[in-house]
Amino acid sequence: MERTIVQINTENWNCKIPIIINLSSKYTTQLQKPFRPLFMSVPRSSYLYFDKEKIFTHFEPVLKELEINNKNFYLQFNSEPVKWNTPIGVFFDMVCKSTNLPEKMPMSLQINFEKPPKKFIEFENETELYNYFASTFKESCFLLAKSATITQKITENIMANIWNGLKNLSFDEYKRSIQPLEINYKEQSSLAIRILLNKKCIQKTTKPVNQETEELLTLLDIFKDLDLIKEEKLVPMTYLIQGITPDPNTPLAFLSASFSHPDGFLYLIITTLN
Amino acid sequence: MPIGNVPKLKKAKIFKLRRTDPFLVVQQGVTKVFSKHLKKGQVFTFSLQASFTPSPDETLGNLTECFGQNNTSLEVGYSLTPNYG
Repeated sequence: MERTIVQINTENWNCKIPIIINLSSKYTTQLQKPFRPLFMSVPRSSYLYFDKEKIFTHFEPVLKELEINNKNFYLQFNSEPVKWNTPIGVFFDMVCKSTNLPEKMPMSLQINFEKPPKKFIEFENETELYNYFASTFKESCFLLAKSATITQKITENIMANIWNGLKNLSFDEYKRSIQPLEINYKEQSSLAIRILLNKKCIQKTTKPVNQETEELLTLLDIFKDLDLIKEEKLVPMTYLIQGITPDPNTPLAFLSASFSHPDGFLYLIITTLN
Repeated sequence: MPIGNVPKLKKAKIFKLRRTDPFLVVQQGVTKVFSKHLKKGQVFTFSLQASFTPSPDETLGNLTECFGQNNTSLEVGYSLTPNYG
């Protein structure tokens, strides 16, 4: 069945990932009896930060029992911390789906009440996350226009509406909010792409069309740029966009229009297998 | 690049930075240089292209490639109040 770009976007926004949160093993041995895990279904496009209060409330009795005064916590998958500022779908694709290990559902996270590792950005409150998101959104808009043409149109009101669309998980609200910005991926000067190559972030700005041939650039052009094609074949690797592996000949403009995250970036997760 | 009424360097100061360094290094470096000029509670707002503040964990390599001049230098604005909407 053919789908329109709006339908694909709506499906991405509605897509959820099942997670289970357990206490980190360092706490379980100190408890009188096992503590029940928390099961959640979290939206791919959203941030786990929005559920921070819910997670804290669930594990609060453990803090009392173990006499831990620290109210701050972070989550991790094996030893990989979950960044509050990474869309949960991107994290899931990076640590669970893109490895050649069998995929286990739900995604199992551990809660830790110690000081988070270095480089982990802490957000004191939701306003800080909002400011982070607003800046990231403006960054992607600047890349799309290769100038401040779009960012200049982003008023405080528009940004607040975009944020509410994300918080309420309403693609309609989000779409309505960005309409005055007149973003058209096929006609933009550039595309905003974040590539997580073996977990290392590479930010790219690529024209949607080859200037010489006037052909639409595809995923293959990205792979060529990253030196991931040897002897006319892709090196052994997995790649994912919003949890799926599109055909390498898919135009980047279509992928950006259909699979970009609410922050305006298209996230491509690549894991080489050697 | 100083924006508005902020302290300026009398003489250019050169920082050695790697492409893999996070933007946080720039934020900390500039704040440290002007620490004596900042009143209690004052913090700098940093911006690129007078449009946005990069995330502290973004690498200077990525930012220079996307927002720099000739992929070699990056102009970072600092001000005491946000200089963009």
